[in-house]
Amino acid sequence: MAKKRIYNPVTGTYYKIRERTTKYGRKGQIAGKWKPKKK
Amino acid sequence: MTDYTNIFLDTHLWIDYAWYNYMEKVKGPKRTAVKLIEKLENSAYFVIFSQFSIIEISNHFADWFLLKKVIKSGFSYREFRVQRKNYSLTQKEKNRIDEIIENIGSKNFVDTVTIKALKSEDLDFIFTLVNNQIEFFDALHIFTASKYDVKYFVTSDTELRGRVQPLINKGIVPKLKLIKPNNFLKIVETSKN
Repeated sequence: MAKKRIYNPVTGTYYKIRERTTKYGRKGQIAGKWKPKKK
Repeated sequence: MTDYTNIFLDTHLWIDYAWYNYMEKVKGPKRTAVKLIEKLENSAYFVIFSQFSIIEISNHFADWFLLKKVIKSGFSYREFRVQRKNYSLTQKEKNRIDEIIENIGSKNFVDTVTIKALKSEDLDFIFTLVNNQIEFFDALHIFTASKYDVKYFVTSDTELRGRVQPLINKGIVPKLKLIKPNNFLKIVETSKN
């Protein structure tokens, strides 16, 4: 259901979304800003 | 194992909560929205949070920042809608808005969902709502709630409740309980005791 990231067009930011529930958090939570990996 | 129930909070509840918790100098008596959202921690409810809610909340705070600039430039509140396009957010203001969204979305009872694609029947559903005098963003929220099997749609908007209920009765909108925040707060408190 949850995708890896979600876009906010007002600020131009992508947020990371947790895809699984782990000890660090629950599936569906926003886990900070998403940035593309550096090449 | 707890059985979780999906609920949807109308954007204005998140906005009340954000003003109280994340904006300076606006502390006052706790509003129902704040009490309700605090009670949802460790409850049996999951709040469905969508990109549409993110955009509406962000727009609210963007308008707040832009309104201050428009007024400071000598325009009146009435001129804001026209003047808004001539102003933009600073990076600091965008970061403030991102902080608010991240704080809301990181709560352990919030399930951030994405609508990957809209089918033609989804658009038909949304436009049926709009044709029944439901505002576009509210129609998107009702659509999201129906996609994610939401049981309670919590809103203070009497007009919205009045317009959606007949559509539920006719079977156009799937079964959904539109409920006032005060009444839902009582349900949450009862289920916690």
